[in-house]
Amino acid sequence: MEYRRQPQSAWELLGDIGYAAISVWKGLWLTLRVLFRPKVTQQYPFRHHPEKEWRPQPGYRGDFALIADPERPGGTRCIACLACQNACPDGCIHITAEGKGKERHPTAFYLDAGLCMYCWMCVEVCPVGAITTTRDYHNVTYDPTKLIRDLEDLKARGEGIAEPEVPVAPEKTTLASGKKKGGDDES
Amino acid sequence: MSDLLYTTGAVLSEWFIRLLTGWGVPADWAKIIAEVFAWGIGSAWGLIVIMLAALVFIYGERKVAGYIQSRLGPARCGPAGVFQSFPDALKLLLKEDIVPAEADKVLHWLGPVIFLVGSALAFVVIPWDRGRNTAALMDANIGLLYAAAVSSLAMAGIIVGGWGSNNKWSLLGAIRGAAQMVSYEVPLLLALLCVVMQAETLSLGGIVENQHGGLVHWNIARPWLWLPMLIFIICSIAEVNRTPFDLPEAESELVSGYHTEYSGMKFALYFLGEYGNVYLVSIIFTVLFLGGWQSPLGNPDPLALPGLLWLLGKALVFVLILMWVRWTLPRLRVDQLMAMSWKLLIPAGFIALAIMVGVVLAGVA
Repeated sequence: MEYRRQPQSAWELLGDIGYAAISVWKGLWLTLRVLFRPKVTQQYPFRHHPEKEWRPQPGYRGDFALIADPERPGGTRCIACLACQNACPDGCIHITAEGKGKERHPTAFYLDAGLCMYCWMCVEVCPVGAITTTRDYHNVTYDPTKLIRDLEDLKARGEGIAEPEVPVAPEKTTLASGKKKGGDDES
Repeated sequence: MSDLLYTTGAVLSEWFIRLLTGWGVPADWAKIIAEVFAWGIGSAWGLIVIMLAALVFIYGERKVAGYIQSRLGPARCGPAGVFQSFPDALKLLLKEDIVPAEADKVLHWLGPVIFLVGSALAFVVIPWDRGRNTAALMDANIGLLYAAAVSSLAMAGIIVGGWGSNNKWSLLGAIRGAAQMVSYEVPLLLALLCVVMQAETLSLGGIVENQHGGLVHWNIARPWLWLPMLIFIICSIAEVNRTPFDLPEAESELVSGYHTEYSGMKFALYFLGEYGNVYLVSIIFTVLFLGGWQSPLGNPDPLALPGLLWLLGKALVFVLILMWVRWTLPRLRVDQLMAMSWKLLIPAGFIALAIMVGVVLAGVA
């Protein structure tokens, strides 16, 4: 910070007063402009503005979906191998299944999103890429039971999704020394 | 309306004097007692104004603060949060009133009371509207002096509360408040003196009458009063202890300053008094420089609005300016605060006074 010495003459004093007045006015002008500018706050979820909505990046872990299989009309890719149910650390997936071999499919698929910790183990373990997270985050509710997804719900959410949300490896931004890789090498 | 108030007051006063003399009180004494009672009743009206104003200003302050910081401010209680003040007030009423064990019980109680009474008393001399006796509840011929003196009582409230709390932060805040008050009262009175020389009266009603006839006749349109106006604005911010002069309660340094040890209703009284003082200086600014209750379009008012509306509306604009300044400028250091008053504002006040003397001698005013 620059240290301002005491004014030595009346002219310097007047200059300081003028400098102070200009500084004060700059600040006031800035706050006045911000006062009338549109505000950044969005009252989500009470006032919903779809056009201002936040769009998550690829790899975002939102609500769950089961991806439909074109070869099994009305069905999903899920072969009910229970791998996800067994892999889930929270035990939030419950599957009942019927059929043998290629006919095997889930008859009930419950996923408690309120219990889920979004560790993505179910997505990673799935041999056929049936279960995935979506980028839909509008799942706020007052009633926790509404967070339990059933088969129909998951199917509906999977409509239009071709492939599971691919886990995006975090960019290797830091080296072991903590320095940033690439970019501003000089700094 | 104002005539009715005045007539009712006169009738009540006469009845009271007759009652007292009927009890054997000497007539002179009865008059004095009746006068004292009348001032008390008048300041009750001041209290009502303060409470209503505080309800509006607490909401306004938070909303302005939010907007300046690109937030929305209170938005959940009623449409755009307009009812936010009521739960706030209710919370203060219901909170436990804690008195520290080592505090001076009497002074701890007395502090907020003096603070609020000081600002309520000053509302008595404000001319609210046109009409008989210029519709101040008591239009004293020393109105301005009275208002300046009585509003200084607030500082006594701060010192008493800060001392009575028996807390070092409170005491530091109170001492800072006292120093600030002493320093800023001087340039403030110099600025007031210029206006008094212009109007040639100390009565607030008289000062308003002096600005008769629309915007061009107001004191704000008289260039030789611009310097006093600037001094008045700066000093009034210091008098009501708001940022950038909020050293008595500097949150980041003194916890909460003189009201650190207060909670519940007593804190609410301090809070009310603060907003009461804010509105008081705004109204006094309006009376001194913005023509009081008069319409800017000239007299009689072409819009035929009540003078009370003009007065409160103009004062509201000044309150908004105070809020704008508060949420823009950072707090001064103590030495900067003192230097600003003694090295800058007081000399500027004397210069303004000299200019005013010159204007009066030249016969322009």
